[in-house]
Amino acid sequence: MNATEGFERFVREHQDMVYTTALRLLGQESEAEDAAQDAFLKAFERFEAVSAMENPGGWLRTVTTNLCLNHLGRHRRRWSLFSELEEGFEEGLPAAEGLSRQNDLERALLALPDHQRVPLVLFHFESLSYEDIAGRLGVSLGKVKTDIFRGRAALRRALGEAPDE
Amino acid sequence: MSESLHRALAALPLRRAPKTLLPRVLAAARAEDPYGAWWTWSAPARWSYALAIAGGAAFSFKAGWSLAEAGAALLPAAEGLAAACGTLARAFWLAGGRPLMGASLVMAFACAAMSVGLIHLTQRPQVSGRHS
Repeated sequence: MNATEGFERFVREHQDMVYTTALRLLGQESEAEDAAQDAFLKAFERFEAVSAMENPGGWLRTVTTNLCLNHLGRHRRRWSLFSELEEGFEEGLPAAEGLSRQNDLERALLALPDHQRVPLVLFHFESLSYEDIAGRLGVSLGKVKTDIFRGRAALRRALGEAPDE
Repeated sequence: MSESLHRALAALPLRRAPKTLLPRVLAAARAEDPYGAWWTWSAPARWSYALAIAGGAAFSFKAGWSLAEAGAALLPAAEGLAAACGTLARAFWLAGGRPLMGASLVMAFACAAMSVGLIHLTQRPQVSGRHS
């Protein structure tokens, strides 16, 4: 098997994970596809080293997360500004009736505003602590907690659960 | 945080990547790796080369040549073939690769020359009465 075939197999093996990670962070399919491509190209640049890693998937996931956060930071101004602009967004989330629970949750997650979805994804899917998330996003710890709390409340509403207070 | 939400999030399946992602990534990787691209498109040439050597070896075996005789006959032929391939690659480079690389430089010179020409045409010295 030559290097090209090895890389193709590597992409096939990890493309769903990379795409899903990017989609959850960026919230848009076209942007997620671009980010996934960039992540795989980074892997391609040092494919020999990456394929020799014990956990290349973990490395790829970290690279994808970093690329997405850089993208968000570059293109979407400051998190605090978005918080102020998008307050009250949660009211418009889809209702739970008639749709599968997982689809509802997925849709509700992607429909969250950036400032709620990104810290929530970093906490639940990337297992980062509140402090790490605050550091990565350059916002206060209190803001991270508030945004995650509000994001969860919105997701619960989408699932038809009573929000925690 | 209720456990059910946590569990529900953890249980969310991965989304399937769009079918366009893999070809996009591979095309971008090929564009970043000219050696890899060369390796791909030169595969028929490499196979032909290997077949020619194998054919030559079989022919010399059938003709009853000794190893030294076969080597003396085949090595120059193989060297000649390799040299021809090298010449061909160089010709491709000179005919296509290098001119394309230099195209931006040529364009820059062309634009500069055109600018100078236009300035020359549009800013002719005005005839003044004092010189008459």
